[in-house]
Amino acid sequence: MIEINNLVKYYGDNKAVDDITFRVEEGEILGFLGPNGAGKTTTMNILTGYISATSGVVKVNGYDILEEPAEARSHIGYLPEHPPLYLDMTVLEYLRFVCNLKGVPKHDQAEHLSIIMKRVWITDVMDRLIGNLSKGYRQRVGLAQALVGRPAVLVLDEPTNGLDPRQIIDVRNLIKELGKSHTIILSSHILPEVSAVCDRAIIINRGKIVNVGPVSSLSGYTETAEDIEIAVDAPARQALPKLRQIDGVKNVTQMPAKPGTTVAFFHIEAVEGRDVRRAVFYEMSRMAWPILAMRSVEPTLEDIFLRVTGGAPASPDDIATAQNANIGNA
Amino acid sequence: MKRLEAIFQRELLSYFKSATGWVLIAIFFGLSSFYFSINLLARGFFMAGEMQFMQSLFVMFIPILTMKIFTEERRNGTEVLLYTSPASVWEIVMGKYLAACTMFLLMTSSIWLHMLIGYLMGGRIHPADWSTFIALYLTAMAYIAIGTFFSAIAENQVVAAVVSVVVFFLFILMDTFAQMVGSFITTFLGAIDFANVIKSQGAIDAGAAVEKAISWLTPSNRVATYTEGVFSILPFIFLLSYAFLFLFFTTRAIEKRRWTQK
Repeated sequence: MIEINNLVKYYGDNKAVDDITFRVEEGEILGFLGPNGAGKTTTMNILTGYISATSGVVKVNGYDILEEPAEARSHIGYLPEHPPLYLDMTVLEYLRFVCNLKGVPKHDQAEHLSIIMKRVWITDVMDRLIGNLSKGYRQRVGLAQALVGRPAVLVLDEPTNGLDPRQIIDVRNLIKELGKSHTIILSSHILPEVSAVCDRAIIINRGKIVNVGPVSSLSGYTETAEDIEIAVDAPARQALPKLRQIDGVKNVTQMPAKPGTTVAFFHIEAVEGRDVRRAVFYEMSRMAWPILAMRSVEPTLEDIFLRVTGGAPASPDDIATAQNANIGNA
Repeated sequence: MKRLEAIFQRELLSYFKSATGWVLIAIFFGLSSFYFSINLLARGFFMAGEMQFMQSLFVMFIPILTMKIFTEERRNGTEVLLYTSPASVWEIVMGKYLAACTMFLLMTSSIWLHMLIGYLMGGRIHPADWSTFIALYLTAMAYIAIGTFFSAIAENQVVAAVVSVVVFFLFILMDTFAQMVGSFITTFLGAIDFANVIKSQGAIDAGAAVEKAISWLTPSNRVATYTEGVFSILPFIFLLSYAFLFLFFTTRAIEKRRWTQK
């Protein structure tokens, strides 16, 4: 459905996208995961034909985005990072305009739009000026705009950005639902989002693909409870050495507690691949220190990069530190 | 064609969604009606004069009409929608250009009204009025294309407006400028001609030729004969080419922006 071959994009001397190649099959929901500045938006802008690539080929439904731009673009619905909305129009006026722009026949527009508006829950605001809508509504109008014209491919750049938690869940469900009838590329810097919605994920960092795989392979990184945080009703000074003694615990740091309470908070790092939750529980229970709360700490995207890339630093700062360390060692 | 129509509609509507359209219409109606009434009292029904007066307002008002055409889209991030839609760059540019031209037609519709009033009151519309009328719209079409172009290359509205004003102002000064350059050439040729090879008439002719060449480029000069009631097809083609050329530049500027690696 979508074919991207050896895509390279330079901004001046800066390589924003570095030789990216991937394919998206029909009906697939592909997650495009990476921290800010990884090249997600640039890639999406190129594959929707908004900007050009320095080199490389993009094909949508068999049509080259450069050779047959109109044909290729008519198969894509794009929701950019900032939804392209005319603030001086009402929602309905705007969506009608998009219909005309994308060549939806006049007699079909009313029904088409009413289905879309119902789908993204904006029917109640259709007569309001877009400029007066909240960010969540604007995001949904942006999504509606992408759906106009029944494109086979949806490209969504951080679609849950700026929504409240309830709306995030709704939008994720909607994307899953849309995934049944569309091929979707979705970018995000939130790992759980990608694992919740997508079939497959591409991890991209500093313009390069770091990892491609089914989402289940990612869950391996998210579900092992290697790092945990606990709240114990115990004297902190005594509890700290006890926790450190537990087999499999690499490091324990005490976190600030509320003054005047006897509850102590600890961040426990486990040796890689070890689950220390049970051991911690038995140890605390042996000392008659009740554990009030225990939660596993979700690894951040940066942590995952470190693991996926086998310890290669993720951010420029890390690189600098690593280089300094190397110089020190030499 | 449908896409061009969609862009045209939205663009025209946007003039009236903001104050711009209404204010421009109000100002043009106010000024031209003032001129019309004064003229009527002073020398009678004289449309050509009124239209020439309105043409002198181009310098200020066409930039206001065109400054936001592309800069606004860029600022709001809505250009993504247009450029990733199946519409071609030509459709986008033409849709917007034609909307600005239509807006101009509405702005200057006071002329039509004055003509009608004058005619109904028994005034005579001279052939010169008709040709001035054509000259006005042709020149405006060229100017709007130039303004559209600057809107496509400028970073923001203010820059687009200022550059357009400067260029239109240069057009006014172009004759003086042409004369200056012409006489400079004449003097220069006379000064370097120690051996007296060039006849003095030759130097004068050379200066005049340069002067003519520069004024040739000025849009409003081309239709100068129109105001005398002389209609010819050449200026017509010239001004339309002017408009077309700048619209072509506009499409190139837009394409370039998307292809530049910065």
